[in-house]
Amino acid sequence: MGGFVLRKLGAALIVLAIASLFVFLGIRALPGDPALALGGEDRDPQVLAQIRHDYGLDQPLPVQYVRWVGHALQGDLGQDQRSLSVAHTIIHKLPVTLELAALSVLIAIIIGVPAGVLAAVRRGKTSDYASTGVALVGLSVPHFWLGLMMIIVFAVDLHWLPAGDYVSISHPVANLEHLVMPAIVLGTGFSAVLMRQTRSAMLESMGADYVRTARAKGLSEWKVLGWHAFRNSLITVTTVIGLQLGALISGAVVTEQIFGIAGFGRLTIESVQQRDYTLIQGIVLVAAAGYVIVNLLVDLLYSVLNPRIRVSGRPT
Amino acid sequence: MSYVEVAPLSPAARRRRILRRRFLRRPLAVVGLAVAIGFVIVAIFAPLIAPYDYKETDFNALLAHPSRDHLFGTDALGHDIFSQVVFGARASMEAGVVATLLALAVAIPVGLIAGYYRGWVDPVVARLTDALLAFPFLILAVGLAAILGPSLRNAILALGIGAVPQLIRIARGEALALREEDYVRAAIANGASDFTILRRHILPNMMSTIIVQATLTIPILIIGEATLSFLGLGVQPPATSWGVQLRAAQDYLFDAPRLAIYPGVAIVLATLSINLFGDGLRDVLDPRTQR
Amino acid sequence: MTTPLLDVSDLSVRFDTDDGAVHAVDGLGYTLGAGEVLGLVGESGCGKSVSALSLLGLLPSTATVTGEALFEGANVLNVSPRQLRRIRGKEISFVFQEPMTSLNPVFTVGKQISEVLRKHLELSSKQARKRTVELLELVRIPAAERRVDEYPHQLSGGMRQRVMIAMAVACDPKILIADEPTTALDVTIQAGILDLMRDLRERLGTAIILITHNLGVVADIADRVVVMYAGRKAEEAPVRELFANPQHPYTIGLLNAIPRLGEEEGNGRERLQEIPGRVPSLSEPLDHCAFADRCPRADDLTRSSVPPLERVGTDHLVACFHPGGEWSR
Repeated sequence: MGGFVLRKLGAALIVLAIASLFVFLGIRALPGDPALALGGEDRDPQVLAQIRHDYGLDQPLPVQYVRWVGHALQGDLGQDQRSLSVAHTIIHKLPVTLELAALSVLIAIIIGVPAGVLAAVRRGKTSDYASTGVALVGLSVPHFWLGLMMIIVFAVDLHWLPAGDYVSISHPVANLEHLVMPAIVLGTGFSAVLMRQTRSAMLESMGADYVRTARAKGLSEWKVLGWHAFRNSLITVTTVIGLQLGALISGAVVTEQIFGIAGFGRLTIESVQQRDYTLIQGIVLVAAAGYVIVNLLVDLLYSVLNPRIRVSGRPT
Repeated sequence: MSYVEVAPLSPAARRRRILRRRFLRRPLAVVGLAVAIGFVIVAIFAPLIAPYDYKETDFNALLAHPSRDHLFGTDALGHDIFSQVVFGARASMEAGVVATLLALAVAIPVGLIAGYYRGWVDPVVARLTDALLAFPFLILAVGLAAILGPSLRNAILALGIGAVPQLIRIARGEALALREEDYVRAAIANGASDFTILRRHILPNMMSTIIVQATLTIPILIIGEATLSFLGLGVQPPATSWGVQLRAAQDYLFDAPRLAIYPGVAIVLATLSINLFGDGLRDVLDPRTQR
Repeated sequence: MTTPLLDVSDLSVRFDTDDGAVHAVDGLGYTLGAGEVLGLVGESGCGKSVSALSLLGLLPSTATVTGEALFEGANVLNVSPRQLRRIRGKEISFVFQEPMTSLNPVFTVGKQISEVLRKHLELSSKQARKRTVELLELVRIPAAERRVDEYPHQLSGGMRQRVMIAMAVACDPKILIADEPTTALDVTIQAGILDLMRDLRERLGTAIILITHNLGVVADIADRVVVMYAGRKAEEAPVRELFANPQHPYTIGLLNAIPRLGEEEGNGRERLQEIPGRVPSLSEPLDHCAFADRCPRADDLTRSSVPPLERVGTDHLVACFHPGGEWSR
């Protein structure tokens, strides 16, 4: 297993490096003078010269890159238009989004995985068609629209839940009240994907020879499906979860916008509206880094679940 | 009484017949195809179908309820909602299809080469793809919008780039598997050039998987365009798309929810139908499914 | 004449697929006595595996099984799922063809064997583990103590097959059905597996239904043989009798096709005799002799009616209108 972990770690680092390169070059690809872009609206030549010096814009590109990465690794992502530390702003807003994301993932797993198993086991029967149908609809609904609909129904018509804002976690009940709808909205697409993946993974393991062997041993259907088949499909399902994170981040951006939650997602929109390039740069980098790290963790989880990796270090 | 000579079907024709039969046995997929085609027709013939131009305003009917004049009612500026939805189909479908085609144009050659040649190309492509995956399409769109300014074209670009990694993966997987097929090995042994093999053996055989994947990508990108336009990062007014309409509907959520409902339902129907069709297509083309 | 352990009669299996129906087995019947080894022989697709799988209800849901298979007084094809689960693994067990895919890759070998022990014999986990190690030693797996905690992918093909056999004999079943147990293995390993099975039969007295397309295996280990063709029984006889005196043209064809070394006929080399033609499509139950298209003795009779099973000697049955014939050796 050690070899596997090291390989994945190495790959992750490379990917992170490439991603950071993309971000760096992306900002530099701006037409016009980067100093102008970084400085916002200020046109004062002295300020611009200062910016050039600060950011080392007079240096060759590779040097700039290294400097930037160096700073980033130390936690310094520069300053935004209002001269606030980008890193600080991001760290401040991140926990809100993380909580939202965690809740959504939880909801998605709780709903999606059992639904997928059920659909697979009852393949061809009504409950299969029903759950698959619901999942398909879940995939076809733009979740921001779902958010709007939910607001109309639950907040406007029924007055059950508040329409937005965020209450800190120190008030757990209110906190959850405010996060329930956004979490459900965000989790819907994810749970639909999970449900379908679980279903197809289950169907595949259910059709495998070893399931037939388990039946031939006289085990109850519960054991055959719930234990032998499911345990195998878990492996596939885990990898899917990692891949969906990108979509989760995208979803968070929109969801926060609709529900008026001041988190990482909303920050992203604001940064574009204000053309705050340093902020954008920091945000994109953090998002990419987060994705790579979480996927690394998912890979580790995968190695734990799959004995072929755990014991001999290579799949099959 | 004479017997009619019926020429036996060629294997390709027979396969097509079997596939068609299997497809027709799946009513949902057929319905999906029909509805999807319906949307395409609406998008293409929008000016003929919509009773009004989407920019046309009727100041006598602001936020009107559905009536004979205005099937879905009007919005805050007097635009006929039905016409808007009809015209909105254009941008949304265009975004979905064009972005998918863009992504395919990149993904197929790259995936093909990575999967067929392996060697050093493969790991490099894999790392690049992973790096690309690290940017959720929204973040990409945000970045692009910041650099190049928001527009439908940039939205399509962002969507296309976002769809590339997954398609590369599929193409690569197919090329990898097909490479090991006996007829490919036979062709290599007979001295066929790489290009010929790729063109005649590998590419045609992976088409069915690619087509299914592309069909299932389009709805995702349609929703993507709607999301971007909703955030102001895609289609810019006065041009319209379903996403733009939803953005405007936000302000009237309490007074006139129908402004949000109609475009939304349109999106759901369009994507659902394509998804149903794509699913059915996949079941039909996959030799493993039993019924 | 004691009651046979297993009495199969008129067993038929039909599959309903997207592309039509397939009649895989048509009116098969045979008996199995206690401690006996019955060889079920035929080429790929003749229905021998399907007929065996149907005994334990292991066919997919697209299959419809009719007929009777009496085991200890009950028709195994008709019992309740609960009763079937009690029979599976304990009274009748199955060894599958592909040891690579028939073992669950995420559980250790020991766990998979203990599972069946704990289910049927209700042993504690400690007892089960002990018995598992004994079983592994019984099937001649070296270093059994260590192997118990290993995963299937860590074992070689031959060892995996032995594990499957251990799993199958764990609860001392009365009948062991082995479906092509050696086909997926190297020839050198095959002999070891057959040796093992012979040994087990001696020690445990288990009756074995051995399914194979390899006549050599049959000659090695079987007491009696049933030859199947296109889902039907073609011939049945004690093994020596079958090899000495085959009656059905198909059997004769099979035996003729076995290459023999060191022949002196002609210039010392004989062309391998093949049976011309192909197995008929099974989308409709045939109303004539299934072998007619390829049979040198085919005539109007065989092309228009199904040959009934007839006795041609003690314990020797043949379904043919023109049995017997040229067979030297």
